[in-house]
Amino acid sequence: MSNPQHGRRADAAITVWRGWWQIRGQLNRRTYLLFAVVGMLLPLAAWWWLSGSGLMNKVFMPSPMDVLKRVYTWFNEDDLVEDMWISTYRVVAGFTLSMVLAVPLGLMIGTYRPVQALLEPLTDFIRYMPAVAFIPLVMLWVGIDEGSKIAVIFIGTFFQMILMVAEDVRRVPITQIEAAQTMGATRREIVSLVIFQSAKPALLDTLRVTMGWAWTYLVVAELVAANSGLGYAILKAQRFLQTDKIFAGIILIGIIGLVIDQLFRLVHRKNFPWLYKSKGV
Amino acid sequence: MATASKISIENAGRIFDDGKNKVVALQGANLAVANNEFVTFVGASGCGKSTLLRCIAGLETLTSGAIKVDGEAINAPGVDRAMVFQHYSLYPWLSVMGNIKFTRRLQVKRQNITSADVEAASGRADALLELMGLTHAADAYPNQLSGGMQQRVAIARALLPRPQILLMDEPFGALDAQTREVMHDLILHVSKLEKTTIVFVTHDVEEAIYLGQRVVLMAPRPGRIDSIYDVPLPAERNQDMKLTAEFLQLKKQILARIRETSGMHTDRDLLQRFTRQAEAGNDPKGAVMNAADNELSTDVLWEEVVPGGMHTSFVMKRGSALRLTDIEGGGNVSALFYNVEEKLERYNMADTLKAQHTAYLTKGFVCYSDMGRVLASVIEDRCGWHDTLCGISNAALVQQKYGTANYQTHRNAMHRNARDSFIVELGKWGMGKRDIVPNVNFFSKVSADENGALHFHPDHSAAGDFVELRFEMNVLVVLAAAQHPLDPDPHYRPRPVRLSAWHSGTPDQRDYCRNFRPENVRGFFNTELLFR
Repeated sequence: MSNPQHGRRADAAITVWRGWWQIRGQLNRRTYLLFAVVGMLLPLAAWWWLSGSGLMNKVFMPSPMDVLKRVYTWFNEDDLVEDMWISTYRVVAGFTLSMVLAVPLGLMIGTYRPVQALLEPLTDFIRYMPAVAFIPLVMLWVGIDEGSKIAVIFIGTFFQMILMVAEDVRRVPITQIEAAQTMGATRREIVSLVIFQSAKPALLDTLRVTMGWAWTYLVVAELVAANSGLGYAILKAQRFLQTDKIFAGIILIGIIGLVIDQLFRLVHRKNFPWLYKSKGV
Repeated sequence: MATASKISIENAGRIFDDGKNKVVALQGANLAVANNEFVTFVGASGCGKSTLLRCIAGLETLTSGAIKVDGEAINAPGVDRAMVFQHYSLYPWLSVMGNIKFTRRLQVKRQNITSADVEAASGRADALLELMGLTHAADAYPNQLSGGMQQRVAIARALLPRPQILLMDEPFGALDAQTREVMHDLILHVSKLEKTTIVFVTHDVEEAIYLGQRVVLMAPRPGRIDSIYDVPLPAERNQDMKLTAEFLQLKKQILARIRETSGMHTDRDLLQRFTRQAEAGNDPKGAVMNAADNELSTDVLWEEVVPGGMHTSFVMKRGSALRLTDIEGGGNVSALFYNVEEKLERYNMADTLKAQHTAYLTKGFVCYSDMGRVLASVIEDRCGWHDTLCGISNAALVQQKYGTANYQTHRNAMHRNARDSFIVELGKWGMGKRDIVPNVNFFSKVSADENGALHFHPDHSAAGDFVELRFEMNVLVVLAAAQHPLDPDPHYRPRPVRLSAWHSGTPDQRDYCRNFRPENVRGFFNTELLFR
């Protein structure tokens, strides 16, 4: 009664299934993409169904179409492009300021013990202070124009970034450094030609992660006397119970974040080709 | 020596002191290394061999004494001393060529540079690449290479600026055995070609002997130079030399010394102390706990204690092993071995000794039959010498030494002798007096002086010492726990012995005993023909 053809197909299916669920297993590119798309579409479909089912009030849960329509009117009537531009500018400016200061400082902390002893406990201390609580002080010190928004994002990211950079630098294998010493490298050369080069891939990952945090501080930053920006738009929509606009703002921030994240990954791939080479010559 | 030494280590010491703990990593080390010499450092972990090497490199500083290169004390790394690390020292962001030319990018090399220099350096980089067999991989990144190739890159990189001294810190420790042999010949070639003085640290004694002109043995607690061995091999080495008698003899000697210095004796002292305490009823737990250190790691098939003076016989199958443990120390077990299927084939003392160029048994030696087959191999040994020459005690000797104590007067406490014990046991297997041949006396050491007089070493075996035999045929084992005939002890005090048996399996091609002597390879081959 048994059909060998059928049996073989069932076996093949089991093999595929086993392959997927192997611990630390591999997936080919197409299957991976398939899973990723399913992961994105499933929540969207659930949302669509929930909003269309009539179970939820439209005020609490607008449908995806409502959100799309809102994005459209936002674009046509309320200057969406300007909002996105100014928010991106604030985030990138605050982030860049952090980076310019944190990377060299972190490099020094991770390389020289006295610098570590001098700065790390202080940084650890400030890191726990709530960035949001600094807003009144920032308004007093920096004023209420662009500088204050950038300052809030800076405070939110800088102290985390400096510790993560220091940790990346400390993770450079000591033998790489000692090898350079035995080859006669000066201290300067060791820092620039070995430590920094060796830590670079990890540093870029740190920057990518902190960029995400910078975006989460955007809404808080735009609490300060703003009259434009995605965060500001979300706050304003809150006052008028425009939940579709809140949804639209949140999703737009997510999309911009995703794009920037992918850009970071692209830079990683282009700049550190050795990390993406497989064994064998 | 007429020529000045290249490196001279003078009373070098290094103490690690973090404020709480003080560790003496190196103490009073003295050594002179000649120009173009190849010196290897071996020793148990914690003996300071890596510390000493790092001090020569200038990566660590001495807390006392001095290290001089060409007469000048060093205290920082320098281009004259290149170092090859065990791993992770290559720069993964640079290609193989980029790594090799790394020194070219440094300040020291950029000053007063001419285009001829650049050309010469590029030519040298290409030459080194070729020497290391890496030409096809010049543009690859290190993480694309195997471990052996990565180390070749590291060596080429170290050699580029023509260092006078090459320091190597267990450079092949992470490589597999085959790759390691290739690297050995490569580095010997480099040493000859480049005329570099090489100091090489390893934990592998065979590697140390094969590479080194001298082997420096270091010992731990405190880290120090224990002894220095000249390697009695020609300058031109080849892999076959690893099987010569000189090589094996030196290897055995160094291994034994490492064992002695590695703190093994401390364990033995501990065991003795606990055993004594347990006997006194002070701390029976202590004995149990400590005995676990020497416990067999596999499942024990059976275990039995033979009381002092008693005898036993049994069959051990091929692929099984037996541990004899001298429970109290100072014991002796006289033993005979027979092929149980054909008892005319039996342990032959003369063949065993002459085939293996020895007068005693310890780890690595095997017991030959008169048919050139291996009855049993000594796979582990904690006391280092088992007598093969002195035979057994008999009734007359025992009576003369210890007085009369027969069954009629003393019942089970009567004095027994090995010869009568053997006769009783052999009788159970259809054999008798004529089947008693020269035997092995486990746990006893008897050496000869220059006049040929034999000397018995009392207390040679300590409490808890054991010897392990793996049986290569189905063997009838006959044992008598009687005192050694030369034992000068005036009292009748035969010691008990514990027997523990387990499945050891049959030896593979790389087995220690099989390769211990070239003759043994043949012996094992003969034996295995029986079981094909």
